Amino acid sequence: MELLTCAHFKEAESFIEAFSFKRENFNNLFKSGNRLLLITGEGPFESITLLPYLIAQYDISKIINFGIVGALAKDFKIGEIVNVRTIYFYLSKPYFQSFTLDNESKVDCITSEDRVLETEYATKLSNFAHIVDRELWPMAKIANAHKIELSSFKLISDFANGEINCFDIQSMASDFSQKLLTYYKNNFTNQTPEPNNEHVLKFKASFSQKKRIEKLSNKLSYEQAHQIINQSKNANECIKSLEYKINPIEEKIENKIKFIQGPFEKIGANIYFDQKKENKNVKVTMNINSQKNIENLINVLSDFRYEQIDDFYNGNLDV
Amino acid sequence: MFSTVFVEQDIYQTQRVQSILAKIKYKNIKTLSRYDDVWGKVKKPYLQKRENLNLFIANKRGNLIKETPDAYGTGRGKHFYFIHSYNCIYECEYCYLQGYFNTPDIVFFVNHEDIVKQMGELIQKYPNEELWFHAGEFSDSLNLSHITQEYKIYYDFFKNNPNCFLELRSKSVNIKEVIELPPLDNIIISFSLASDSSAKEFDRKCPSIKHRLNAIEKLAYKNYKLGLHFDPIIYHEGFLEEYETIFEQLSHLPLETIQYISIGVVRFTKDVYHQVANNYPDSNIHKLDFTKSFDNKLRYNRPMRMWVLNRIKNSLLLKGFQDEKIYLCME
Repeated sequence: MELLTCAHFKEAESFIEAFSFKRENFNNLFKSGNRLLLITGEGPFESITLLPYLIAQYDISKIINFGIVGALAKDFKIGEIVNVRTIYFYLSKPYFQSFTLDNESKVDCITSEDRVLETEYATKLSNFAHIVDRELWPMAKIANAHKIELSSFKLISDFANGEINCFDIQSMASDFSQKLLTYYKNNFTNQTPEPNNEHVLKFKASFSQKKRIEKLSNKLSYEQAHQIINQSKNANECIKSLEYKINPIEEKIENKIKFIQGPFEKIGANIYFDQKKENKNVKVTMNINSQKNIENLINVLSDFRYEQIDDFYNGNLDV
Repeated sequence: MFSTVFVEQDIYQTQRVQSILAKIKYKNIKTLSRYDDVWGKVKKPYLQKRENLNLFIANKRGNLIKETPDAYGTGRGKHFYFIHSYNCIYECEYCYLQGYFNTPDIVFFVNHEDIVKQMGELIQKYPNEELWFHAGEFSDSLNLSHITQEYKIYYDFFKNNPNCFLELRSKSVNIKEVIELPPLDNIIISFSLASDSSAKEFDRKCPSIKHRLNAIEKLAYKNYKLGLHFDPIIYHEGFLEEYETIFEQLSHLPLETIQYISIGVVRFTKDVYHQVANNYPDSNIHKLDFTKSFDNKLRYNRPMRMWVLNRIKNSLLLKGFQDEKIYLCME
């Protein structure tokens, strides 16, 4: 479900009409098909009062915030709509944590605890962002915590320099709401799904094997991965072939390990290397159930030289 | 070039700051009492350096010179790095700066005399040690040196202190400031180099390897002392052949000008690794697996990286570079 949010009813008017939103059990929550619309109220704390509840109650996959904002930089036009790139927060002082919503955009926003009523304050905020709002950062914090995608598009209503005439903005509210609706319709509805490039496996694979194959395939071109997957007889062979294609040295490393392990395996013993191949320790194990086992182990160990391990960890991978 | 330039009020009128401002392009300029009232106060995403890079001009306070970590440098002497700048105009995909500071915005510290003064104090503190001072730990030492013009200050100091060494580390070809002054035996201009395809793929906005080699050649024939850093090496198919081409070209230079060669394999702290994954999710850097190594940094596993380093080192030796000048970096 998609959740649309804005601070004021006036901003939402066109949306309510266009999508025939109906009130839900809260006064400021509306629903229409697979869409919810929340009018948050103004200010950083108002904006999130209901958000965690809605996330818990509805299956929300995406939040889209829209609203009007003041510009902190001169290079905007009144009525221009921008996508927010990164959202910052000013809570008596700059708050360290930020959230990036859209890397493709070029406009940063700062959520201010207070209304911007003085030029000096606007100048301070302009050190960090291009536009100022009063709601977005806490929303981003919650969306981030719940791993929900958040977008924000803002209409520039004025220049935040302390000379704001609220009545002018109010008189433009319907027009601004219509503009935001048009922008939403053009950019967020009827998006075409991305083509499915998943590989089809012709062999059985467990969940974790499928994940591994998917991860490795993504490191190769589709064609390279496709060829290897098609030629593989089972999941393990497929994973190994993909790994070796990505890193041929890994094959040399495994061959060297097998070479060192060979004499131990022949007598039913095992020699284990550090899983991360970082520590030079090895562990030898064997089930002993006869004198012959002991003699075999003594013979193999007496031929075994630790130099082989040293050599291996020093990068000599020749067999 | 810069969105906003922030200058500390106290130094705004100084000739050095005015000279910098005259050489750069910027949209806005502001003064502030301390650069760190704004710089690093909020987490500014690294990739915003592409469209929204700010510059701060300030005085560095506190510790201007710090001792380097172990396994740094040639293994002889005592090593320090000094801080005259933060951040870089280049955008190398593996760069640790993306996870080190909380902002990509550049800072020029202009109180070089204070740095030089601290260098003098260290010389007095360690009279019997060979002291090395490295620049370029948090920035490229040369790429903006025609704007900042601090080279002459350090040059004069090291001319008067021939027993200690200065290393300027760079990927730049901006050697204008350097060649205006004659070479000194204790100033080493060092260049980071990579295979041609690695540089094209990962060293974003940096000069090509061809151009870096041209700069090295120019300096070598004028008898400047040089350092070469083949670091970080990122494994890719055909990497060795590409490095051999570079070694071949370098082997024709007067080899006595090359003071040391470091080789190192790509490595990340955990934080930087996550930043790289976040900033460059499709980068081929992630192609190979990394594992937590001896110092908790993420590296290729030990046999793999030693295999890579051995091949690079052998290839250097075959081209006539001296064994004693080659060292493994951070291994």
